Amino acid sequence: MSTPEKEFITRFLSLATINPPLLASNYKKPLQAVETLGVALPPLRYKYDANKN
Amino acid sequence: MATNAKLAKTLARFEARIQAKDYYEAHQTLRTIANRYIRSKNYEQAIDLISQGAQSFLNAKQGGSATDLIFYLLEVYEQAEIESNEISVARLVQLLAGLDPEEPNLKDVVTGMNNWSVKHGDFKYGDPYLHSVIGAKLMDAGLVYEAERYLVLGTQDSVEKYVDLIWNWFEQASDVGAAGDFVSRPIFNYLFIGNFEWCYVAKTRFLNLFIEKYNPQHEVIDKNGFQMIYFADSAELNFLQQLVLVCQTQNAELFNSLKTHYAGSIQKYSAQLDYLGQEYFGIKVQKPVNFMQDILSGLLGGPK
Repeated sequence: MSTPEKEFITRFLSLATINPPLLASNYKKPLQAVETLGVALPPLRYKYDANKN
Repeated sequence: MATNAKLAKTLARFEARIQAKDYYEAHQTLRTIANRYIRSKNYEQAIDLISQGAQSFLNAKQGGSATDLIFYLLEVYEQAEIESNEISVARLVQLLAGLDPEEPNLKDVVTGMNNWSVKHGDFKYGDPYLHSVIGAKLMDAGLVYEAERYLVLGTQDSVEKYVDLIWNWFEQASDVGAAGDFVSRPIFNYLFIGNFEWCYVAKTRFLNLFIEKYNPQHEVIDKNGFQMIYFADSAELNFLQQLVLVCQTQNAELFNSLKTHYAGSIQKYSAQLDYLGQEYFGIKVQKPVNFMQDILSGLLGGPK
């Protein structure tokens, strides 16, 4: 089972992990240092019902 | 000591009126006495009195009077220039926890609390602990987008609540193909604020729940310590996982190659990717080009 996407992923991961990433997986900018929140995400197409769960 | 005894007596009288369901009298008397404390700049006593009064109204299910006193407490906080710290926040959190999610003033109450903590604390967007409680309360009230904003900037506890929210919402949608729409929200929101730890927590929890419930065709791929779950039927989920890794590397070339490969399945994320491009890869977003100006600057050898 080899798809073009899977080949891409394998190659991509190899390239991306040759060196340890600059930011570790547990890196966390302290919240005091957060100055911007990025872009607002568009609303989802689905309604949420708080009483359903 | 004498003033504390006086305060205790006032509170006892107040409590008796609440028991007798004499809410109006109780409310008025408390406000009058609190005013007196404030006029003499005896803020500590005023704060004790008002917050305990608000708590009693909450216990008696008198939301209107309780929220009125919460706003009053915030006014005193403001006037006394109370710093946002563990104690001052805990007092608000306790009141907030007792508040009915159906309370019509809920949004104004939480906004008031947060605005105070923004102004008098170290966090540009407000205190994280306060956010964790505000987020949970808004979630209970079904105000999901508002809840999301607070949960993102909350505590460790908020990450789990945030995933619960996103997961429950996804299950309600009963649209298996929309998993990417849902899990992309915590992924982007945490990437935006540079929080990889929580990004991973949220992503992993959601994907595990997804696999457990729907058993999609998948396979774990492991490369040099990085693990991702390859989904045979969702290029979007595969893309999102690689996106987190590429942001960690801050390698613009890899970022562009990832975007190019998935161009078809990720069009809807262009605004988010533009932002991440600037944030992690120093890629300036190109403004729409003025065609004539472009030709002229080309002819004149100016910057393109």
